[in-house]
Amino acid sequence: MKISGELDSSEEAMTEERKSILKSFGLHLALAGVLLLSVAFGEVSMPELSQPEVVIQAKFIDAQAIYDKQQEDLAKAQAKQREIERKREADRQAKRKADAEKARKEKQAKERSKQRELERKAREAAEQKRQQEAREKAEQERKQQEEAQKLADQREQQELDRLMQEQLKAEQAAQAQRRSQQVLTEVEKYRALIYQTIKRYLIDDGSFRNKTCRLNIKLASTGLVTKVSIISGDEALCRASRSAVLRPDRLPISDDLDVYEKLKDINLTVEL
Amino acid sequence: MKKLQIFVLFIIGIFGVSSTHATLEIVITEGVDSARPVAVVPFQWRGTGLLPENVTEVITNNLRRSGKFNPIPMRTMPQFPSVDADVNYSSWASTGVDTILVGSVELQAVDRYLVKFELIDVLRGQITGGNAQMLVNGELQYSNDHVIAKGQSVINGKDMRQHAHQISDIVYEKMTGERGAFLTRLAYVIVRDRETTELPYQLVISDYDGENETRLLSSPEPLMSPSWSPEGDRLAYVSFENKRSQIYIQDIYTTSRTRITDFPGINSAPKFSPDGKQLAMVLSKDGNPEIYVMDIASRNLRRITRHRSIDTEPAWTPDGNSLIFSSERGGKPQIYRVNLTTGKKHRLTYEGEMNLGAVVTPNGEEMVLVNRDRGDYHIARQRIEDGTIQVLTKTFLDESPSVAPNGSMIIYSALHEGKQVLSLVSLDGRFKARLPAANGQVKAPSWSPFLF
Repeated sequence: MKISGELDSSEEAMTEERKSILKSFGLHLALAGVLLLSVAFGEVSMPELSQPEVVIQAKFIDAQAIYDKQQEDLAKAQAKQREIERKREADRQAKRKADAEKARKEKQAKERSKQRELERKAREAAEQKRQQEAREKAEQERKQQEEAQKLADQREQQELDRLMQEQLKAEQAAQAQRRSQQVLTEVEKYRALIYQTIKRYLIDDGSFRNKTCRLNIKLASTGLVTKVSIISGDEALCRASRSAVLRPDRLPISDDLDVYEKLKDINLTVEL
Repeated sequence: MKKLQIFVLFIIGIFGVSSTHATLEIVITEGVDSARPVAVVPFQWRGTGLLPENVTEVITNNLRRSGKFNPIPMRTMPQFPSVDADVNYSSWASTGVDTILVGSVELQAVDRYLVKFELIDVLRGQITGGNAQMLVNGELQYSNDHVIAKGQSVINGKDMRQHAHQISDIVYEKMTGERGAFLTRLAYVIVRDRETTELPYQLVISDYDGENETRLLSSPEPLMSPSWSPEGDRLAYVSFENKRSQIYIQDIYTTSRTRITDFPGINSAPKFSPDGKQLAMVLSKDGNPEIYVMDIASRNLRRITRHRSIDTEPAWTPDGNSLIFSSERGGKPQIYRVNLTTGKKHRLTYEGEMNLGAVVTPNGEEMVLVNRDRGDYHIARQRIEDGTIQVLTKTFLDESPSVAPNGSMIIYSALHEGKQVLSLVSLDGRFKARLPAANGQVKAPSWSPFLF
């Protein structure tokens, strides 16, 4: 599209160029006529201009000679004038030609730039249109997106709420877990301490080998053994085990009530 | 296996904790390997003159010798009560003893004594205050469950020592769960000075602590290897009274005796089988000392070993199915086991230069033997099938160990100041004692079975 358009405009430019050449030629001819007229008109004034010189020379040359001389001079002057005129005309013509050329070029350039401008404009328009379209499309998309975003946001918010709730729950659970873990850890610690304490007082010299005893121990929150009952097992070992439980002033116990709750009732199995 | 058990119980324990209604489960599988502190409070003497026997001292020594008790010295006792009612439980508890024995001896008539004793769990007493309240069939009853054992008997002065052993047995059994062996006896041979004694070789029986020595037989020629029948009523031994070795069985109450063997060569090391019907022995009638088992009733002999080296010192396992014996088949004496049913033999000991004179502990799991290492002979113990040898003694030239029927103590003879004397070591090696020296060399002790 663009290429063919350019071709058309160049053809156009060509005819335009020819026209301008003809115009300038006619113009030149007219100018030459005017100049000839002015030369003829100048013939009258010229002798007046060269009068003084003629006056001075008149003393020596006869009138004819003078006349001839005058004619000659005139012719010379005229020739000279003509030469000058011609030169001037040629100059002018050249100048005009150059001007015309320049003008033409300018015009051409103008034309071209106009063309380019047009093209640019067309392009711009197209561009604008495209941009517009793109904008519209973008707008639409944006709108869609916004819509989607809005929906997504809503969903996200819901999700977030849900997550937060879950997190809250999880945190609560974790806290409970931590707490119970802590209690358990503490229970394990005190279990080990109680184990160590009882073991220290349990005498194992080999006579209790392969014998077992089960005891139940009840502890006060101070660690004081409030009750030791023999559940079952070898009588002597049970007695020795009971002594081992009762021997320390008190068994290790946690100040933490939750931990105490899990320690206050102990089934002790002794297997040596 | 036990570890697995521990693990399983531990897991159960953990789940026990995590369950909602929590009874915390604790499983204890080991204690402190030491002697129990105990207090034998001096028995109160209610009478005039001297006490015929120091009951307190006998009981204290008995408990200490077993290696399982550590009777505290009198000076650390906070009080000297003779009955439970006088006991200040807390002050006793603070001394570190769990159990105390209190009692009294009261002269009732000429040579008649009332002996009372109470074995008290002071920690339990501290809790119940001496009066435990218990609901029995819906009724509140008072019990004295802090009194572990109590008793009273009227005895003659000469039985006082026996009675002290009896009380020791009760204390031992109540506190260890095993039968006490303080009422058992020893049989051994005393060799007196040939110059001053017409019949220097004497077979004697005494209490386990060497007291109350009773002579069964005196001989101008060597007596060897007495061995108790499982009922404790007969002894088998070797006598050279006819200038050659012969095996006899003698009833210790009637003193009647029977010659069992008179084979050419060696007749030695008789040992009653656990059922008392057979006698293991060493005979060299076929040229080389070999182990035989004789059916006592029929006198039928069965040859157990057949090897060109010396096989000797048989001992029965408690199940009566096999014998362990010393053999030089490996070069130096080591302990071997022979299954009497299959006749299969295998070596049991590998540690030390030599091992000999082995006997099996009553539970059948261990053996006690003489171990020679770097020229020293010491009493040692080893698990029968898979153990390293644990040397128990530091005495000199230890020989012929014999184990108490409850497996708690070992009697053996050792050289002390140039004399062979009886020595005692607890099976754990914790307690060692030398029995009162007799006038002469003491050899070949043999511990009786439970007698009462």
